Amino acid sequence: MEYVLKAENLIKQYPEFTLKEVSLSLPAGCIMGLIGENGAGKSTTIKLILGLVSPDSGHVEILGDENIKDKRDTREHIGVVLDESCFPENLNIKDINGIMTHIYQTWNGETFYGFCQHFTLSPNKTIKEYSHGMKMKLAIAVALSHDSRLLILDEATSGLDPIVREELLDVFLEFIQDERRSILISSHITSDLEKICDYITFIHKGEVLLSEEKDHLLEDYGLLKCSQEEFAQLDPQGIIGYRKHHFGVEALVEKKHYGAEYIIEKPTIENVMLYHTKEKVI
Amino acid sequence: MKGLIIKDLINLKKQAKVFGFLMAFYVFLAIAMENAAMFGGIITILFAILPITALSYDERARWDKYALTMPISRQDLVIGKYLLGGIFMGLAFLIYLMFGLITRMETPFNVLLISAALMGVGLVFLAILLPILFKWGVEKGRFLMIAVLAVPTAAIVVASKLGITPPSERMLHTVAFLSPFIVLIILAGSIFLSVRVYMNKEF
Repeated sequence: MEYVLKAENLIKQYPEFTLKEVSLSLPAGCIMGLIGENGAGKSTTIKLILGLVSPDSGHVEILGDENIKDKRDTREHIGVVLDESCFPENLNIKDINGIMTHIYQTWNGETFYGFCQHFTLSPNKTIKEYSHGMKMKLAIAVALSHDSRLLILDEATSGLDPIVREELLDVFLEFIQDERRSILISSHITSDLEKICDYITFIHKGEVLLSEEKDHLLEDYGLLKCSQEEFAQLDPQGIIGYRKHHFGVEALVEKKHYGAEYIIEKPTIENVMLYHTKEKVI
Repeated sequence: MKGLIIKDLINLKKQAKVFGFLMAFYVFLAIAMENAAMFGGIITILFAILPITALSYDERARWDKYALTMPISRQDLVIGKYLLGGIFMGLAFLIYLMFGLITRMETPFNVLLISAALMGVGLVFLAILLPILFKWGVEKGRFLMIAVLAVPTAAIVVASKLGITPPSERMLHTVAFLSPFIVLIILAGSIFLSVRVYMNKEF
């Protein structure tokens, strides 16, 4: 399989946080979702991948190139949306188009203006006057208006309303139609990721808990519902996490441990994420 | 690089109006007071501050970490600010030259000499400040900036109070002759230092 992005054993130590041996591989033509709670290490992982931060050990390969920090030409083919808008505030769309023409060799002004129109971005306002959602859409328009083969989106859809998010997901799905392209997207809105991702990587407290194909993930795990008495009889080996309520227990389990006598429902990515982190609490 | 310079110039465009007003005011003042050198000093300071303003705009927008995901190297970002400084100092040089030649308050040779000297001072000012600002940022570097500027002033005051004889005219001539080279060496050292500081910066 051809990989667009490979990260191996990334370690980064901060005074109050450590990223522990994060590894992930993103095949061409796929979308990978990076999930985890706030402060889990998603943004740090993305910064390490982009070379904005240097790892203590481990390495990253993007589009066949290692050490992206010194590879200017490779970055021509990466579109990035960070968790905040980083455009200087006195610029407007026309200014940005003019600047990007000189920065990206493959910059396509027509595509850019097309996206701006599609996203209904006002051409007369400066960035300062844009709302958070408009800034995010602008950053996405920029990321899509040069020859990007890898999109890296850090919380790009957070803070946007459901209609805009839906619209963006469609744009991402269209981008991925070309099978040489891939997307790495981090978000804590798991339902968005569930809609578009082929792979899910789940980071918790600086560690990768899971990195799997989404369909496998949802097949391997199940939501088991039973009474408290039944729950006590269960083989504990397969239980990932559980929640007790008045009428019984709901537990996230590995399906292979339990037979057909139990009622096991299909979980959502959110269930998988929540019960995995809950396990540590219990 | 061209994209970066254009970005800074557009970003600073908003200041143009205030700038034009200030300049007109000081032209008027200089003519009224018949003091051409004062005008030169003022425009040098005004223009030398612009690259720092550009840097603070970048800092506020967190532009650098975004720019580094584009095909822009860390060196480009650093050298871009020096180029911007060079452009503005060149502009200040030309403005003063024109002002001097039109108002004829000084001989043409003196006008040229003063504008060149002012450009040199402006460039050294930036050469000293930029590495500090790249290391600590405009926000944190501000106090250090003031400290750095206070040192030479204090040195001159102390020297005159202690009765140290000012350098002889001959010595001044030698210094004047060497100064373009001195300025260039200081600039080269400053760029080297800034790039080194910036290469290891984390975002």
